[in-house]
Amino acid sequence: MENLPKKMSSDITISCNALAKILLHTAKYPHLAVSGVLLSTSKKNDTSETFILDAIPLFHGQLGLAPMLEVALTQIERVFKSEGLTIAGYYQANELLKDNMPDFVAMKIAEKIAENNNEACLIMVDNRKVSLNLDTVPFIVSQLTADGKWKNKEKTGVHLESGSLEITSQLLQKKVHRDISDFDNHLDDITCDWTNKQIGKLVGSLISAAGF
Amino acid sequence: MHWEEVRDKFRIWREDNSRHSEEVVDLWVNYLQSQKHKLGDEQWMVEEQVFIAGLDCGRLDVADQCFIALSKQFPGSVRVLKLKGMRLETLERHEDALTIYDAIIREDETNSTARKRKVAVLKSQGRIQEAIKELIEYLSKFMSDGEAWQELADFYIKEGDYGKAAYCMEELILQNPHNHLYYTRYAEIKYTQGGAENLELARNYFSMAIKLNPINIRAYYGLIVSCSSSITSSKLTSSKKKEIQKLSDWAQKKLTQRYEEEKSKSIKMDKLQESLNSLCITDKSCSS
Amino acid sequence: MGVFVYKIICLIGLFSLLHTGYSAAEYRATLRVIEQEYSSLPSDILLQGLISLIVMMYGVLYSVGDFKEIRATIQLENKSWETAGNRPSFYSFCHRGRNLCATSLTTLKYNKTSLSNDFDSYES
Repeated sequence: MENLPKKMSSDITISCNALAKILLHTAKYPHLAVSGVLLSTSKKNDTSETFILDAIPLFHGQLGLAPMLEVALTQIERVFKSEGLTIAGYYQANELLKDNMPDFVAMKIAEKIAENNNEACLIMVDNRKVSLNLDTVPFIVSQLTADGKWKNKEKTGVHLESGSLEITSQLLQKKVHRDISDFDNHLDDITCDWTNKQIGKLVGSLISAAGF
Repeated sequence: MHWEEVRDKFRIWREDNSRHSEEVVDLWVNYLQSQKHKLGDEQWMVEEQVFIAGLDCGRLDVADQCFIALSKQFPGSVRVLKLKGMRLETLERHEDALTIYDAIIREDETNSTARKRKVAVLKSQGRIQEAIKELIEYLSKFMSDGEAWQELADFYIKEGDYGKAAYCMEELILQNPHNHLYYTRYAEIKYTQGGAENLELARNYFSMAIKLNPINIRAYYGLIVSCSSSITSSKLTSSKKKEIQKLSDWAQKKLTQRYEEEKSKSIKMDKLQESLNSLCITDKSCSS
Repeated sequence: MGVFVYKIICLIGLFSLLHTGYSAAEYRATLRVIEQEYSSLPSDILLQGLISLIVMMYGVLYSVGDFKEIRATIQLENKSWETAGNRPSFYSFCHRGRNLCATSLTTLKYNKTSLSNDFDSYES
């Protein structure tokens, strides 16, 4: 019998909520690098497909400092544990238009997340594909292989919830990115909601209104 | 919106160094452009501000009109020539931009803005090591330029060279001993470097940041995590650990008070206390 | 009250002060004419001078804008890295901002019009 590799490559589906929040974060700070974490359900089902339910925008500008990252990750774990969600990945958009390679900060954080979650993924935003009229997933998604290297997933292995691109484009055109808050914003003004519940509700209502 | 309100907003954004490029372009086109003759001497600073905002958004139509106005008003100006260089950078004609900046520097060795633009060009091309080298050379001549020290600190943090980044922040603290932001950033760098000595420095600098600004939330959180890291990782005497724990408890109390004052909707108070507790790991005396 | 009103108040104070000076000079001239010794100005002139000074100070203080705090740290309390972290001299323009601004894609093609000749020929 063949020895199967320890980590099976599974398909990844990104929800409209997660896509919208990631791109709104990149749109709020188009001239800076931004980063955040991805959430999925902590219950493992049989299909071993990863469904990214939500994204939590963390930082903009300076991404490589540890203290606030530790605070953010601790708070996220505590707040979302009761909702059955767990940290399932990390996203980052670099500052320069043509730069979509993960730097050592992205690798380090993604590896730390992967220690607790085998299926953790690393999403690098492809800045050239980000626009007000999205026609394709503007992400490069990678997962850890059995030999500890990050391997880019094929485009066929990354799916989006129906209508995600249209809804996210609408949100970007309506300048909803001015209302999104990341953890940095929260540290500057603690009335800012870094869970972005309002945006989540808006996305939910747009999905049901569009009948997707 | 009245054009005077827009003019005042632009003034505040200029003074604050805010980068609301999209809003600047929108407000200019919709409200201020038609009234620009009423701005007086301020018109030229506004035109420059809109020019830069236009480049940021890729709105060359807006930027070019401003450039034409500025070049008519100030023919032969080095400052306007620098704007031309920035336009070339936007079009990714980096070598042409560098030619312009080199020409400006040849004419006037003391021109600092062209030197800084050279660093920006190298950064845009992703040539970070060369940008760092250029910036170090610049700082050897213009040692008191706080903006340049900040930029260099940022480069070093991105490259993972925390020791050198900390040196840059030390220069900034020397030049601006009242600025709590620099103390906080320095403490964060020290924490990221790790090690018992660095953790102690981190605690001290976070505390100083709180002293300078009692509403610096980042510093409170930073103090709590550095205290808990010190307690769990280092070989400290139990009296020292107790002292550090007291400091951490005080910071937690202050932070909780601050959240209660602001009636934060983002996080429930019980979850906050749990999160703060979990930042103090393993030590028995951490329970509050 | 608008800045204009405070400027008027300041002007009134100034004229009143000038009037006080003129009155004082006239008083001393009169004393010389009637050959009396000068000891001090009459109390009404002194009072007018004091009041005009106060009125002028009041007008000036409110017409020039807000005071800044003496303590350097207070001004910085509400500053954050949002603005303090922006370094205009080092701004880079090669970022995703151009993709996210409406109409920017059409305007980047615009650079190939005749205006680009104007830019190429601009020299210091």
